[in-house]
Amino acid sequence: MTSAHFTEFQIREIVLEIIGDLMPNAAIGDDTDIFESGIANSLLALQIINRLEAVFEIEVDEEDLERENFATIKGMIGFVLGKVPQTCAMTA
Amino acid sequence: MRHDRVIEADAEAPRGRFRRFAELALAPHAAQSDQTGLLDPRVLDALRQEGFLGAPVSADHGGQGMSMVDYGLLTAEVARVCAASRTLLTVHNLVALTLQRWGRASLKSGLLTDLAAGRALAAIALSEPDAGSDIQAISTTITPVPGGYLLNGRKSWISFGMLADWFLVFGASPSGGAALMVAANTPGLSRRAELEMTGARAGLMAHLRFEDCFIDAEHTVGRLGFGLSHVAATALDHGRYSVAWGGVGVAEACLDLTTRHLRARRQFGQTMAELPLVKAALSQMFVDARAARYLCYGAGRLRDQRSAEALAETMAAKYFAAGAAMRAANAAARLHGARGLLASHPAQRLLRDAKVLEIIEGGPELHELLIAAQLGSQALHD
Repeated sequence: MTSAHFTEFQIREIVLEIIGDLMPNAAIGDDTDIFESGIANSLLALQIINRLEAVFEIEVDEEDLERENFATIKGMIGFVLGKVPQTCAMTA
Repeated sequence: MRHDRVIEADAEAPRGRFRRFAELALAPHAAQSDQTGLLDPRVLDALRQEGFLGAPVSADHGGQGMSMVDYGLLTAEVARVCAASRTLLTVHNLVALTLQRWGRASLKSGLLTDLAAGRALAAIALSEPDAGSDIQAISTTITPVPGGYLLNGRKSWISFGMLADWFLVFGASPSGGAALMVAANTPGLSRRAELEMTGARAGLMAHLRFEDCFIDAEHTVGRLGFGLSHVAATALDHGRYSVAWGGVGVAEACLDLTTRHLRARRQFGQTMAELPLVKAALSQMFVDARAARYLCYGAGRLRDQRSAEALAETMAAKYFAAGAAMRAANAAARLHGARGLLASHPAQRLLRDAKVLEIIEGGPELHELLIAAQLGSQALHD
């Protein structure tokens, strides 16, 4: 588990940056299902997890592999929120 | 990534030990394995005794915790002398590493420790008669039943399928792609040897049939629905990395073999190595092999750093290194003249083994699709 602290706003910004980096040409809203919509393939799915792990210094394991954690931006933010300590609860 | 000193001297240090092992324990049996299509048991014993089966698995799970760079160096030295041994390292370790990543705690504390010690051998069962690169097309079914799953379907081109004790099997479940660890002695599982292969001939390739195989729910790898998108993707990534280093080994073996031959053989009053066109061919082989090693080393460093860029770099490394091996093997066979056409000549064996590396874990066309798709993103950094 990470020792780094992030606000909810910071987490959101970083997740948006990761998604923007990996899928720069896709229009993705907070609730867009990147798998259902066909935007993300398996390679991108794995890269998203690798990026989240690297940036937030967290580990994603078998128990975390739930669709709601990685299918949408909102889900990713919620997942990371549950993994990292927060400096304050700030609504984006 | 720094390009001024791509490979540090200390990172190359284990290479000598790996080469001595390969020359001593594997090379003497390689030609016979190639001829008979059977891996000499002494090869398997040697790999197991040195801890090379499961070497990159973490020490927490009974492995050596070998770095990915060292694992790559080992793979190249093994591939240099014996394609079947390289195949075994590839498939066994890719399953072990995938289990380490996505396996349940119970599988990690039990089966993974057996794989890490080489007490049990594993193979990956993904391809089917009608589903190769398009893994979404797999038709093997995984049906939930009380306490576990029923597995039905067929798998093809399973390297070391005739020897493996366990299979990482992929199929379609009602929740999407799924992955299971399946024991070779599971009732309803049968296997038969595939037809005679051209290269990596002692890879003990098998065809598997699953008929109402009951698999305990504890043997699920990753959650249902993530079997292809995450578990298979992880396994293929590890496979690509190993095959890429295999390409380095074959390319360098071709260069060594050909250089020795051309320096000894005289034509037109001089050694062949002195002929300008031959110098050009040797230069191309050397630069190809060196570039492949650099790409593989870069991918290995990124993997050791757990960098998110490792996936894309590994694809680039596999694409180039497998191509370099193929180009080098073609040149080696050609520059040996009629000798290079002898079925028993090492140049022929390397040519057949290089073709295997070019095709497995995704051929060049598939890699071109995947790599080009990365160019619009930041997955491949400058």
